Amino acid sequence: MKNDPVEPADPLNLLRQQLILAQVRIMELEDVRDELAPQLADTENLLTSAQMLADKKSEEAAHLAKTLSELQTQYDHLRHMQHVTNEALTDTRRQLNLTHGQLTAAQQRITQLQREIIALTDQTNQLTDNLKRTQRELDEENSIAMTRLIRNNELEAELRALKASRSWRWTSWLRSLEDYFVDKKS
Amino acid sequence: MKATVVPQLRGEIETARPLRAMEEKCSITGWCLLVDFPEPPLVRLAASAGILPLTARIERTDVPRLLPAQPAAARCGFLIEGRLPAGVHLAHFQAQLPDGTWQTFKTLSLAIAPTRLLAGIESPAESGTVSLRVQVEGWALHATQRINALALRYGHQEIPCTLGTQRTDVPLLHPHALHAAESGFKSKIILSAGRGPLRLKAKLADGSVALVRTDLTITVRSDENLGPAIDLGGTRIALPGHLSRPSSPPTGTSSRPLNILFILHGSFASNSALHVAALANELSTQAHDCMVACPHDLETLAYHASPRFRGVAFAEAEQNLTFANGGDVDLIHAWTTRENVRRLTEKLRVRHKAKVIVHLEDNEQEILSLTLGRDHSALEKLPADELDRLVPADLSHPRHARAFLAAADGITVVLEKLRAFAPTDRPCLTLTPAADARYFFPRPVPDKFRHTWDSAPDTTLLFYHGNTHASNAAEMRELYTALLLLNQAGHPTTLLRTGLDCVDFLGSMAREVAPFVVPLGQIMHHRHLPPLMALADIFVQPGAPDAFNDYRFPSKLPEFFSIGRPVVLPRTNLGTQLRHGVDAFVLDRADAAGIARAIVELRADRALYDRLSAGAVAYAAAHFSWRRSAETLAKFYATLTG
Repeated sequence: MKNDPVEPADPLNLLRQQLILAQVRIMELEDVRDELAPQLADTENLLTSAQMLADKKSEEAAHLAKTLSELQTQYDHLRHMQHVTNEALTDTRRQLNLTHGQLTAAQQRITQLQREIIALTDQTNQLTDNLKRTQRELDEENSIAMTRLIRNNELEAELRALKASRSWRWTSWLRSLEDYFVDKKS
Repeated sequence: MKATVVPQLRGEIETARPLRAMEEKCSITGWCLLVDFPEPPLVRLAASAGILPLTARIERTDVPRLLPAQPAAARCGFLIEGRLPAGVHLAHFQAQLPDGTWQTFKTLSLAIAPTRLLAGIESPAESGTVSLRVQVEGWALHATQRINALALRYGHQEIPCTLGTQRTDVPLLHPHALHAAESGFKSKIILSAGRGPLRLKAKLADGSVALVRTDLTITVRSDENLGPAIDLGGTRIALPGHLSRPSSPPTGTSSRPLNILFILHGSFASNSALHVAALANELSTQAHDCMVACPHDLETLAYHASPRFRGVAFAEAEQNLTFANGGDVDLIHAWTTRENVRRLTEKLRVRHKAKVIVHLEDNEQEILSLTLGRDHSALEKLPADELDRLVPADLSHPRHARAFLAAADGITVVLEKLRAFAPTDRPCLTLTPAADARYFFPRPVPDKFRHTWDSAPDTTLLFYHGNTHASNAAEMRELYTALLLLNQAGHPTTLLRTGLDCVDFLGSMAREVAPFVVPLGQIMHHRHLPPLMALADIFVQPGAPDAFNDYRFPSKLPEFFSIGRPVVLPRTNLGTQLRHGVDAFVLDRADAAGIARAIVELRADRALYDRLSAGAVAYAAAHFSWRRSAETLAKFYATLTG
């Protein structure tokens, strides 16, 4: 296979051949130019876009660095506040534990007292019953005593009447003799 | 404890962004001040590649208006100039604080283009026009590399120079350049005849080439080889028509886009590839996704302008057939029954369960017979193993091809007559070829260029593009014989010929016919043919009805018709459908005598010439359209794929 065109022997034909091949070469180069020109423009645009993006990202990075710095300051402050809060919390927990213990003891004491109250209440009830019974007995005794007092008063009145009587007075001497003899005998 | 007060910086960079610098030299302006300080701070540009200090202060009238309370506003402008290595840098613009530390007030990217070539012409002049035949002297250097060779270029001239002359002044100007001390040069000869701006072209140590333009123009009118009769200042007569026509917008898109694989038997430089590429491009505009597999020389895809399809090598097609939508191949269009196509198609058909369509564009049996030099019936009688051994991969195996066609889901043919080879029970479509409408359209003869080119008045220029091979060697010999006959008969005729000769078809006639042929070899880019075809007066397709021609559709025919010149062709294939004297000059046999007679008649009868020129264009418009062919093909695909 002959890949290259035959070189014409006639100089004029050779010139004509070369003229056409030069035109073909020009077309090829124009194609390359036409292909490369937009590629170059595209590449230029890409570089511009990349740089603009880089600039934007750089500005964002600077902003983020500043924000980070501010956040770091806030973070440090919050860390400090956290420490202080932790200390207070620990103290509070300690107090809470203490209070909790006290509360537990108080609850136990309350329970104990409640138990005692219940026992005392039982005793009170019992005593109340006893008291009521005693009161009843007392009332009965009072009633009996009253009856007896009344009887006593009656008897004393009778006695006084007796003693005020003439008979009693007239017999006093006899009772003196009796006392005498009782004393001597003893 | 007393808190430290950090001075507040205000500033801006005003050089157009993004920041760029050519030849490693950058210049940046802006302003910067310290709030409430009486003097502006020192500024600098700090990059990883180096630091550029403040070059100059610049008085400002705008900043005081912007910041009226600032005492340093009127003097806060600055200029930073200097060199940084080529590349993209992160430029930190910094100001010095009263405590001596530097604080960045702006960070920007800075792209610095490399220094390609630095040069100066010192003799005969630094600038202006030189018309004397003298030697040229100067200096040339590259910032980072040694210059291995240097030449002056102007007009059509290239004059080599001697390099390495010692210089003491250049290193002072370019202290960073490695070879500044030996950068002097002198042209080896005096200026030859030529005209144009002077450039210096250097070949560098790494093999790359760098160019630099000078302020000098050379206008040397003549020398010992070129007389004053040739005016180098004349206007170039260009071969017009290189620009393409824009494609018309597609008529619509497919409601069911397909993933289509075309399988070629040759490279993208083959005629078949022109057809496949045109159809694939058109189908792609209808939203189908096309891939084209070729067995070798995948790089020839670059010969096609703006392909809308993906080209793959056979090996890649075997390994990975993934389309843009991630889907599998729906349809394989095997371009001919040739062995390499058949083998790949059958492998892929099994694997992907795709529909298969086989395209017929030639009498493959006849081509095999002509190529092997054996009668078709004799080939059929050969034992299977011997026939397998004889048939090369790029030709069609008679028995395998029949089985291949029988198993196909559909057949496409380039010519009605090829239906004879298709199984009758398979759907079959005639697919008419066309010419690429972006490049092949009616073109007038570029008279100015033809005038410079014709060797004699009234020369008839024929144009033929195509290879010569065993199948068409005899008819090509007829064309060349016709050329000889015409010139011998006193009708000056020249054949402008492109393409390769795969066989010696001229023998002893080669020397005799050579003065009338301008062989151009293979024109790699098919789109470059139309401007050359426009030079022609008549197109000739030689040949006669026979077992080869009756079953082919020469792909150059639609291209001939599209340009708008009379077409002389035999009454075979397309010739059977044309009206002689209306559409074309149809000969019963386009042999040497017939071709010569047709050309003489066409040159003698201007009315016939014009009628057939117009007839060719009309026929092309009515019958040749890749858009229409692709639409028909898409409908055919749709019927097969459901």
